[in-house]
Amino acid sequence: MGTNWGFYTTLIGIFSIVLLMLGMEKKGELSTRQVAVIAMLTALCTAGRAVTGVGLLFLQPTMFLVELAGFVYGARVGFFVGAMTPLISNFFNGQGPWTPWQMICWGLVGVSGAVFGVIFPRAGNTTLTVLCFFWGYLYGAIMDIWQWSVFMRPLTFKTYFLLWAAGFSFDSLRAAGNLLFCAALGYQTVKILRYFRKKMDVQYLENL
Amino acid sequence: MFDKLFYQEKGFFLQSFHPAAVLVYLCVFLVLSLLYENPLYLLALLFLLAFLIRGVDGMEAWEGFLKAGVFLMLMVMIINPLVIRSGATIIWHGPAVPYLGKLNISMEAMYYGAASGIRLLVLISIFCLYNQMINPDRVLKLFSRVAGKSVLMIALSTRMFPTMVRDLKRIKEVQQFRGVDFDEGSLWEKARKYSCLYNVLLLSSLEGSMEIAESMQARAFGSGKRSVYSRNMLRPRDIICTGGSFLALSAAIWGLRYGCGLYTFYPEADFLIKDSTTLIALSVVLFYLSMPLILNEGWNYCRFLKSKI
Repeated sequence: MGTNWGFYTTLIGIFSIVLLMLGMEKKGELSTRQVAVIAMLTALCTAGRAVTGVGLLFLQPTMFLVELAGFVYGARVGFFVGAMTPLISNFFNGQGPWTPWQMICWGLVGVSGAVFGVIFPRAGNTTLTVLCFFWGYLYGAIMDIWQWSVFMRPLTFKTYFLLWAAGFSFDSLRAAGNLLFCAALGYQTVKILRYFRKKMDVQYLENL
Repeated sequence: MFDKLFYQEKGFFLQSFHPAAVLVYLCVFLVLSLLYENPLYLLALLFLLAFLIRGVDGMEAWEGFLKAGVFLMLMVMIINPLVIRSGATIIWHGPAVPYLGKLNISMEAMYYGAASGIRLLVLISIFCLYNQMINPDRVLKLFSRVAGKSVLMIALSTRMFPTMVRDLKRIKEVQQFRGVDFDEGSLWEKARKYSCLYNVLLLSSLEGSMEIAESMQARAFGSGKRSVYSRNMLRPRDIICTGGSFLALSAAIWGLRYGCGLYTFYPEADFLIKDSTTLIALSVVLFYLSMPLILNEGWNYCRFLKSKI
């Protein structure tokens, strides 16, 4: 059967996420407030993913929150909130070898929000909503790579396309969910997150 | 509803291993399930997992896990025969479809789909066993030496999750007492009511996180290098289990070098059992992997072994 790509993609997923998390943690100190906010936002996202994941299929009020966390608090917070959301919510939805890849994808959602925040700091809710909408599809496309490499043979573009097409309706639901939730709640969320960012920034007056 | 899927301390022997030993053991299982292509080998792994899950009284949880995997399994089993043209035994000549060409369903492609399905069940079962066999807190503590803050954040949000659900209920009740009826009105009105709920939840939980941060700081979190203390004991059972895992992995790799465990599906499916080496290699790997099961039986029925492990 030739190279066992399923094995390699899973290993690549595991190693990348471990290295990314270690790297993000070691590079500069995370402040106590950042730690607490990351944990709280992750719990909120997890609740959104695990609870509505069952009831509303793929309409989850989660991905937009990760995106906005990255947009307001920067790449590190965005990445951690994103990466830890699938890790914890999969305890409810089903843990598996797909978890590392999901963690990478969700982490990327947070990082993309941060990159967007750097390039367009004044981006309005409409722009962010469009970005969230695209992530609905992009997430499905990236996750299909893992599924394709493990369960499909031969590994051709055609089989990948079919797998992607089979999941298209789910991806569309996810994208639509992101669009709706970000359009409805995005503006308020950014406002609340910005308010807490001000609270998090501690400046010491050294020469008082 | 979710309780069954989680780790519960039931006092079984299989739950008493060192977390590192269990992690190594399950990693070997994971690697083997991805490396093996022979359906017989995959089935053998599935059976072994079933015995282990029964050993921790997790059959009910296993059922729940398997149900979750059936959809993915069906999808793989349907797509495979549709796209694969390499199979030699055609069982149905279908019509021509744009982009895909002529739909010829071959026996081998269906066979491959079924084998992939078994692999998926093995993968799901490994994680089910993980949930039943090992206390997640002990695993987290194992990693706290290298990645203290990540582990702390994971532990914190796992703890926060039920609080969040409780908070949501509380806020909803408060709103209902104030006269907000969540079941009344058009869809748009309902959405507006729920969005208010979400805003309050976000605000109150972030406010809570600030309090947590302050209480952590008051307890000297982040004031200097953190100390680590571990109470996990490494007992003979852990050494035997880890040794068995490594021996199983080496035996499997040795076997794979000679083609035991590999399988050709196309153009014509190979024999399931090529020769006696196929079975010997499988039994050696299975024997090493059954170490925890053998120890479990020894713990239950052999007083001498019980005193030694």
